[in-house]
Amino acid sequence: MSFPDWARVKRPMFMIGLLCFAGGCSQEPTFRLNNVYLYVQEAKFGEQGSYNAYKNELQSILVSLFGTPDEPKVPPLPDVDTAALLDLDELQVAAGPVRLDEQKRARGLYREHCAHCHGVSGDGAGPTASFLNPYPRDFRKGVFKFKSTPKGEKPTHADLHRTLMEGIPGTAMPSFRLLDQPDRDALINYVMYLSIRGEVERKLMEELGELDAGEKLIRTESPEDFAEDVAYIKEIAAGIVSRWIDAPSRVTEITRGPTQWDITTSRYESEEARLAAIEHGRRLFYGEIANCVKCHGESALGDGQTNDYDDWAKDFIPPNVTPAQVQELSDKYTALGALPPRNIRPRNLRRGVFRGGRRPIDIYWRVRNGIDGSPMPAALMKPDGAPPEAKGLTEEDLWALVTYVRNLEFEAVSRPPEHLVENERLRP
Amino acid sequence: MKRITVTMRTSTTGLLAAVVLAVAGCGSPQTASNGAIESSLVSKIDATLGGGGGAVAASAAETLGTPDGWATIKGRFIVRGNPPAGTPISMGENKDMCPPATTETVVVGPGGELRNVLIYLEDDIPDDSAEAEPLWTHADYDIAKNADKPADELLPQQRAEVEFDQKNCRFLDHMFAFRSNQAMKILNSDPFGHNTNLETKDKARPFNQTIPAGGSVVYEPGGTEKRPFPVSCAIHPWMSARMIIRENPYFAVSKEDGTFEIRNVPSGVKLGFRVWQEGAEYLEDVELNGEKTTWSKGKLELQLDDGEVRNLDVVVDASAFE
Amino acid sequence: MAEAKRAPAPRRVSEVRRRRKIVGRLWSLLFLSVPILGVAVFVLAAGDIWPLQKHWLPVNINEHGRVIDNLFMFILYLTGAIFVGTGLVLPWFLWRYDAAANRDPIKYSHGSHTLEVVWSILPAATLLFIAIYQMNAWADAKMRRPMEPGPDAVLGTEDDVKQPPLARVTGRQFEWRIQYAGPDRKLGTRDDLYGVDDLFTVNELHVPVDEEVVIQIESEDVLHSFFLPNMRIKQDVVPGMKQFVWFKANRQGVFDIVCAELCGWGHYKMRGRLVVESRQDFDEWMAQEFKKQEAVLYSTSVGE
Repeated sequence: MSFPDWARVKRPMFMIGLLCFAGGCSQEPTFRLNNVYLYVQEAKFGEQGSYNAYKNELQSILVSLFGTPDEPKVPPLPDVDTAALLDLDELQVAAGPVRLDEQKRARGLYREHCAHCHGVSGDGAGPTASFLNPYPRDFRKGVFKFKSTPKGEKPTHADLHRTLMEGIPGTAMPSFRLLDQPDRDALINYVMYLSIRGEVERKLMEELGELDAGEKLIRTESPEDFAEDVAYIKEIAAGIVSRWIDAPSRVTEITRGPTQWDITTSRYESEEARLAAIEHGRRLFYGEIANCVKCHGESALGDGQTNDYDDWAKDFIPPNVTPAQVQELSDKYTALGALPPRNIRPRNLRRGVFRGGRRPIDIYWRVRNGIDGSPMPAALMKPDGAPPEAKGLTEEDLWALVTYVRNLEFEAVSRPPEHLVENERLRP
Repeated sequence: MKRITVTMRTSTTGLLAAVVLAVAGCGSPQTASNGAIESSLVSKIDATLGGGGGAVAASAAETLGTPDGWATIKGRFIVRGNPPAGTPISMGENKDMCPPATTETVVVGPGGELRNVLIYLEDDIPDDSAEAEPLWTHADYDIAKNADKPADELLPQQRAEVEFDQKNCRFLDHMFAFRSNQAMKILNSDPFGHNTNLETKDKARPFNQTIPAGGSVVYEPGGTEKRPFPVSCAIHPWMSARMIIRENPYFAVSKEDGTFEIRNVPSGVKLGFRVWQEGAEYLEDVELNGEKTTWSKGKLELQLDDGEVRNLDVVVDASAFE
Repeated sequence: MAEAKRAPAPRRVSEVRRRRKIVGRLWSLLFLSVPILGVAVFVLAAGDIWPLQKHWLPVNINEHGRVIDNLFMFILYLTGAIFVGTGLVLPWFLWRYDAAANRDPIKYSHGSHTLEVVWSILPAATLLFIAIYQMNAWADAKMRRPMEPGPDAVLGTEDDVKQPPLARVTGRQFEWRIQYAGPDRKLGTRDDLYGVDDLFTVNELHVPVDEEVVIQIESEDVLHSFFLPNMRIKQDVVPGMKQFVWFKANRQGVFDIVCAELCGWGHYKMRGRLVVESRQDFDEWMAQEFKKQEAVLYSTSVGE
């Protein structure tokens, strides 16, 4: 090849190289619109294809309130101190591309540690998500499972921190114990931010159902209408933020342990007391007031009611649909970014793997408050001063259930026959 | 040599084309599905954010006017044609031996009477029923005043506590409406346990609790719900109902014969109602008293005269449920 | 015909020879740089000199690790000598017998029986020597689990038992789950003190200093490799197998646990912390963690 020919090729080659190395092919990331939920709303209330018209407006409203993945914003909202909940400095540590700042502090922590599963938008659909079972959490629904607050309430900072420290056993969520405390705090802040943003997005989409044809969420023609509509949207956002701010005051405090519990040794006072609690818990487990057996099964292997879905899948799978309809819905919404729905399984309690933690108080909270987003209901508690024949559980009953459930993994039937062979010789 | 140059030229053009394609491809891979950011709108909203607080919502009296009396709305929903029949429910592993059932998305009587249509006042009005001369919420709806009357003499909206029951693995009310200042007693009339999951979305407290056989639990919503939300049971996932929680008492659910009645509605003001049915979502194209009408997104605006009894005979075409 | 198809006239023969000779010399020098750079890398790393600081072996804190280090150094010197020798001979041959620079006629050899025998037996003997020399180290590291006295309370008698593991480390995508056997020294059992005594943690392994410690390792999902660089311990974790490693730490401090087997997309995340502390600190830590694990009270004002 002679020189002039080479020159001809060189320039385009150089341009390609430049484009790839200078990041020409990696544009600034944007938050992905919750298309699944948008089209769920469309299927209910609108003509097919009509909701595409709302996309620009939705994106614009969300950007003005919450900014972009590289430049998050904390919107000032009426009657709530958003800035006290979401620290902008911490959000900036967690947001943006992975990099070091001038003080050599790691930045872009969310994209470094979380985004490949939970997605840049917090939609639980990052690149690795579809390989995992269970799927990573979609924060945008604003629902969190493992927390100290009752159903419908938000988790506290401490709840999210515990999940980061311990990971979630039995799932792909690992422990982030080796990160520094400020880094974990920044990540928790960012997860709250993503969750609030995503929930506002969903609420806006729910509003679309009541708009007349051609009407917009924000009427821009007259300044009064504009101000009114923006104020309405801010009120929606403020409602969500206030629930997060209220979370610490909603915690189910646990003021008494099991009776006959020795607080100094963290054990029952006697073996008899422990066995009595286990026996009491066993009766409740199979009894009709706690009714654990219906879902967790008579074997407690989680083989009771197993064909339900969790609330994330229920977004697009209504009750009483045939398997063929489930397939059809699944095809439609996976094309829009949803992950193929899976039935939710009640926990196998004999494995000793407790996703929300194995401490007595963790299991107490699960039984007492139920698990948000899953079919697990809260226990029916006997109100104070109720007659003895009233139906419901007492705190003592709850502790017996906790003791029983924690003991299940140690029952002889739970232990597989010893089949692991040591890799060592019998001869010394 | 010449031929080589030609091929080189072709490939150069090809490369250039590839670069152009790559750039174009990089530029906007997602805007179609993701929506584009309209910077003019963003900056316009941004300009309002500085102030912090939003504009205070105008009071109901300012926007709606002042009522001058009370009227009644009654009516009936009829379906013309053959709406989709309920389909038999597959109960999977039915350990509780629940009797067979069909879905209740659309329930019609022999003459096309449409059941479970919800009509509710959407506008927020002040609850002044406890005042000496209420204008918005009739004194009949003051729950405290009605406390000592026997429950069966009262409308559901007048009671302090309403009952929501389930039997034979079925919620007895498939569409249930009540007020946010009422308590709802959730009953279980089955000989086995249920759990009732109220999947609230707006301001009412979510709820999901086990309810043992013959047991009950009292639920206090603590807030309203803008729209109907689903009710389910995890032990029997096929059980399904819809519920709405309103602050004002102006709502009704059509009965077995398709009729409904809302008493003591404030008159002389324009009120916005919505009409909703599970199978059709908002009822839009209807025949109202013999005339074809479109209620956009189920929205029905009514201005009544004092003492008037407004009759709404609504005919819905079966195609609305497809 | 042949004339017509001929390519343009070739360059002069001497010019071609000159170019080939330069290329040959370059190759010889390139190969010479291999032993030089190879030795330089080791010298820089071992001497902690820029740019290879902190690239030599991490500090050894395991009593039994010294054997591994000695073995490593011995094999390094042995292979190093051979590496340097062959690394020098190769470029010398390239230089000396380059066809472009060498006008001597080509000599063909049909092989030398003596040479064949020598270069077969020498490496074989060397390898055999290494195999025998390391056998004891291998057995110590992989087979001779520390023993403790049996019922007769005297160590070194027939009824000695193998030391039970202090903890079980379960590799899992992508973390190390750790379960301490607790005071009863039995994994997964209740002790006789009316409750569970096993302690569960994740990614943080505490061990007492100056004591023989046995760790049981298992995998929950795929192949991992339990690597304690400072202990000179690296053991593949095979699903379905129960394996043991043991060490005796002689220095307190915080060290690394790493996964040394590519186990999936999050392999790089699979790091843990090894905390070596005094027996007293260890016991206190165990007691404190156990208390946290068995918490039955919770108040937001007190925190956790």
